Amino acid sequence: MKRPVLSLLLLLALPAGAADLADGKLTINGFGGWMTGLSNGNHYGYANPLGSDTMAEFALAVIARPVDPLTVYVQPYFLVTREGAEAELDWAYAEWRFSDLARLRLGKAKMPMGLYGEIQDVGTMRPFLMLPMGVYGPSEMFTESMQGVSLTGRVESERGWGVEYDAWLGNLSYHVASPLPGVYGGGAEQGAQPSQALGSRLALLTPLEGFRVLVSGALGRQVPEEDATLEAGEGEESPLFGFVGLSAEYMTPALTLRAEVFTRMAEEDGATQTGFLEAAYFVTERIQLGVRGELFLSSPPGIPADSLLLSHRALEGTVNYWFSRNLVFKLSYGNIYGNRFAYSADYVADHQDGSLKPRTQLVQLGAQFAF
Amino acid sequence: MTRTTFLSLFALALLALPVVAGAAEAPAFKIIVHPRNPHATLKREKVASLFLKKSTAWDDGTTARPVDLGEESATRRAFTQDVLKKSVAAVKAYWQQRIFSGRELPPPEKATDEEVLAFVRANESAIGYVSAQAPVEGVKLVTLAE
Repeated sequence: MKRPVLSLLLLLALPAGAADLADGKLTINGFGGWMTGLSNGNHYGYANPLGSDTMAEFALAVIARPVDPLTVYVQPYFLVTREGAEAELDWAYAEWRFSDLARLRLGKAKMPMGLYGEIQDVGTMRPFLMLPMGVYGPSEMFTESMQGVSLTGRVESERGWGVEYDAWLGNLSYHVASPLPGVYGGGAEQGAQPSQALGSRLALLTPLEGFRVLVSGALGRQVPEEDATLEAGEGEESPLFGFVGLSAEYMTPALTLRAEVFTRMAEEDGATQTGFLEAAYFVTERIQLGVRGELFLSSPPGIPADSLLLSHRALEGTVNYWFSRNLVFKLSYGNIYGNRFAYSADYVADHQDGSLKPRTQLVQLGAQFAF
Repeated sequence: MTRTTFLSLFALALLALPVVAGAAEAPAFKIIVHPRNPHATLKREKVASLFLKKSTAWDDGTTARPVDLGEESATRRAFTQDVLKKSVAAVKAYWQQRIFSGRELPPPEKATDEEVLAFVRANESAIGYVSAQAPVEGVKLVTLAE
């Protein structure tokens, strides 16, 4: 209990805004949060039957402009969970601006995919504590960053029509977490899956303030484990994968509407379809209500098609209290059917004896901030 | 008073309203640039795109350097509403999205008119705004065109 209380005190002591030094040549922003949850049996996110799982996170976005066309972005990230503490580098890249239409990025950058690809950890940018699992969870659809090269740009007319694009090529590392290997064998239940891919995102900007439509896609291959016992070219498999998706967003000061649909095809994993629709509305200046429906279905070869380990259907609601645009408390309820992302600690044994609960109900509480 | 006189006075009052109303709606801010900036008039959409960094360059290709007042400033509220056509809170939300997705940084914020004036005097590609009463020696006033 001590860590969440300390985290809450930290949240309340935050500065009101970013640090802006040397006339904008150095800017420091940050974000973070804390959450915990209670479920009726299965584990889902940071909710478990005991309410004993919790997380606290913090990141500092440091942006420097040493000379005019050059910008350097660095973002260290810190996470504390029940398993321990970890620190990693979210971003570390340099950008050279040739023009508004062409900006070259080199290094480890956020993955420009979908609506939330670049802001996955910034809780003040969304109504719910957690992002939809099917698109942004451990489903090998998105990852947090890619290491390589990317090009981005934007053109917008005075009438409000415009296009913003991203094209990238690099190395990715997907976070994999699935109950399937434990039950049906083959592969690791958890871990990192390195990949190489190229991808793109195109956003259509419209004169309607707050409305945009995006198309995202990528094509890549999984990078095999190096095995010193193999001859060169022997047994080195690099299964191909690709995904494409459509996203739409409409935002006003009071209303947020977002929807995304994605399809993934992979040589070894088969097909995956997922999508969500979420809506949130400020009923008062500070109180926001939100609702989200989500669907996920996969069909890997060799797994019974009716297995609940392949599916995920979720209906969630949230009540949020915004102290300011920088700090929000969120209380959410979720009703989930399917065990792709929600399963018990002993799910292998529970699945074998038929006691794995197909339905998960949970309550999550947390706070998120940004400056 | 005869009916004709009354109607005449009423008509005169109606004609005078736009003048009176126009005078009451004089902008609460002045847009300023460096004296070497060639622009004497700028379209509202151009100024808005520079301050929201949807466009980052002047016509000659040099990088524009917009500068804001603090978010509590009444002058900023007026400028944001009249030129950007948004509230200050909406602009802050816009910048949060742009910053954390690594897209752009907002213009620097200055606490007073004097600091904005000093910034514009020191940067040839700068554009800023100050309160209507602020003295503007050493900078150039720009007229906003719709």
